[in-house]
Amino acid sequence: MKCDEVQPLRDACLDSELDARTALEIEQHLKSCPNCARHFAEADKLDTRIKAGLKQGRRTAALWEQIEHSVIASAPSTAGSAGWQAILATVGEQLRAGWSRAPRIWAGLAAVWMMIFALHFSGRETDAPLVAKQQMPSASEMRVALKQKQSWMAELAVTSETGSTDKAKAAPPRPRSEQRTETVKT
Amino acid sequence: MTVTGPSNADRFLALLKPIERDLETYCRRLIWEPQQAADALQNAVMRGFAAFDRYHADASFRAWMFKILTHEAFALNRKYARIARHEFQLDPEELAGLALAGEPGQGGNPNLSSAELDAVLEPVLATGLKTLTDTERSVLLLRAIGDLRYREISEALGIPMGSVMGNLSRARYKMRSLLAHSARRTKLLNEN
Repeated sequence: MKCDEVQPLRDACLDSELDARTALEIEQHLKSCPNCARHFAEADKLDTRIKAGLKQGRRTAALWEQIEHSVIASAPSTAGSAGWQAILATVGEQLRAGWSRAPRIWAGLAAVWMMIFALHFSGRETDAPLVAKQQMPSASEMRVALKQKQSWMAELAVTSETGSTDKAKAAPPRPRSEQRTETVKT
Repeated sequence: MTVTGPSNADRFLALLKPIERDLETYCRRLIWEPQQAADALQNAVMRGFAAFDRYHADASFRAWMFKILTHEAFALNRKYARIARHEFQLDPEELAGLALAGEPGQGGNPNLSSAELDAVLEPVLATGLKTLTDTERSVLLLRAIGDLRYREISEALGIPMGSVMGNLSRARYKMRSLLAHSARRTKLLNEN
């Protein structure tokens, strides 16, 4: 390593931020180069002073006490959740105790419950297709049905109209005297 | 009966306690308006606590809190628009002159004792920090006070690793130059 390669790495080297190989190369260079070694030593000496000076400070007890109080005050209350946890823990303990006393009874109860549950849902499944069939017709289906209905109405109107004209054109009933003469002629 | 573990607040405060002093020191060095330091700390801690559910235990709590505090301090610095009024930049020629006068190995003879350096340290730090840009200052302070690694600084500030190294190098160069220059001047004055 040369001097102009070592100098830019001085800070990183003094901060122990270089990889082991580069750090070793710099160390070897410093052993053979008193000028660079002097630069490193002086920089290290000044940096140590600067760091020590910058780190000099105090902890203001009153300020931190106030900040810590604010943190505690802003924390959500855990009393409610602790109460629920206690209740759940008690119930859990009682269930465990009951299970250990009569495991067969508990197993039987669980099986019955499972059966009821299964029957309940299997019953629901049979209803499902019926419900699905009762769906509303689509708009196009409704339009077709409406048109068909309109055509039926039109046909009905036409047939009723023609019926009425035939009736109007039919000969009025003849008097009985004329009917009687006709029968005599025949 | 089950025993409930420590609450979120207890866990948060247990992690916060050991770094309170460093957080306060960092904040007071980073923020322009000294009266705003307490607000910045309070806001940062409350933000950290509000987001504590999203904090992963395998991550560094220290780096996480320094990141939140940095953003809070930057926001306050911007909000009160103090930077332009307080910050002053050294001219390149002036800085070069300081460097030639004091930077080790680049002219001058800085054979300065620790006592001579310490005598001018605090005023130099106070003045020197003002010559740095926001990023240079935060990188320097995160490294010096926060003891963060380069990778953690990069994540905290949202800048690449190369920028961290560049900013840190420039910040140190300015601070070393000022410190060495001031110490040498004080020494000369005392000798005369």
